[in-house]
Amino acid sequence: MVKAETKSKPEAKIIREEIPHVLVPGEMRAVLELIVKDKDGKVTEKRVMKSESFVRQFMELIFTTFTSNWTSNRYPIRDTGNVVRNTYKNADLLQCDAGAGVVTNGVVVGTGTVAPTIDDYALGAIIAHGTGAGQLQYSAMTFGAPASDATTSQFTLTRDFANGSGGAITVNEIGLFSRAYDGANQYFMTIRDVIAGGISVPNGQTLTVNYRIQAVV
Amino acid sequence: MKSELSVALFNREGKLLREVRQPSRSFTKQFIGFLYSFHAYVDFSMPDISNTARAVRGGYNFSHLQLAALGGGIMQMLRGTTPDGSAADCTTIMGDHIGIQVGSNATAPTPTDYAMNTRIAHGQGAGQLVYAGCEVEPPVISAPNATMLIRRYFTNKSGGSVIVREVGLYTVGLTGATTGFAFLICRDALATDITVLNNELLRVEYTMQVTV
Repeated sequence: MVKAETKSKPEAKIIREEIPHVLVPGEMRAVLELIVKDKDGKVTEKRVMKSESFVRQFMELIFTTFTSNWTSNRYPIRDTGNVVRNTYKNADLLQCDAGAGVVTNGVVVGTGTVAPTIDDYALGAIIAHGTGAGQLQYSAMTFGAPASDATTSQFTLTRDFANGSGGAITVNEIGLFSRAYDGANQYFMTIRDVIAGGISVPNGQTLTVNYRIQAVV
Repeated sequence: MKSELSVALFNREGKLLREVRQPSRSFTKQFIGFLYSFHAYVDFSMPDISNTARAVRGGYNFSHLQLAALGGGIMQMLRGTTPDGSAADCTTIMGDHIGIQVGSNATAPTPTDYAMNTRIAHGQGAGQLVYAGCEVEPPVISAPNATMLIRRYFTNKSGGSVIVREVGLYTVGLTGATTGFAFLICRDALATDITVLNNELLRVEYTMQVTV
């Protein structure tokens, strides 16, 4: 079995890295970066693409924060379990600083291949955390602080997925699960992407997913 | 997400005189900063509209990123978090310092803009406009789109004409249980000057849209 190299605690750090330019002026969306590394840290595959899809829950949660909805003025939003939650603004709206092994919050991966729609509320088939067949080890979420250049500002959400399952696993879909509140913490999918052809993570290798949320002037 | 900006001018009888539409181009670094603070649940320091660095609190965000606002000159209560974690009214801000803003300087926007270049103040004095409340309509979902509208009206009671050349969005960020400040999250230079004559009404709308 391969020892998983997963971060146990979420962290925020300054990442001084290149800002990819794949968006057009006026866009605010995520840029999706996928990196597969072997056990020695050597990059075996890297892809950078526009994220396809903020889904409706992103807009609905942003509406909640724009209006500062409080308990007397709740807004119904469908959670990742397909239950409509009457959410209101709370201190942890959109929070996704999930720890290692948490599959209900943060960046998540799956094997579903159905094209995204605006109404998607969950992944097609989420990959479980673990070292069993078909499982990946979810690290803690990490974050790159906001940075900008002449045209683009961005921050980064990152999660590593280590494959100690004994076999290759193909990741076909990626999503972001964020927290909101209806009297208790609930979780909502705000982004879902389907990767054309999938990306294979061989046994012993690690997939790093970077969502770079960008705004371009 | 993309946004479209609409600026429409009406006479005192409500007749539409002119409407200009253009793509909005300019979410600023502060908008990214709020989203970062929300997602990572950490404090983040960024300039407020006076260009003073303010550490927006990750855990005090009941009123963070609020755009719905009362009219100009009206004190608006903000909501924060007490040390025991419960919500409480914490401080006030003028209603015209939240939501859609207008200004008179069309200098091109940059990601690091922190304020309207030359903000038109709320009021009835020379060069001023009366800010109404700022509305945010619930999202409309129609596949493949999710759309949300933000709207504010401005009335010219100054006795003279006022020229609008820039439009933007101010929001609020809390830096503690009892302190909050205004931040610029979007700014656009208008492609065409809009001259608002005395007693005319200006409507500014941002339409934000996500498409799958």
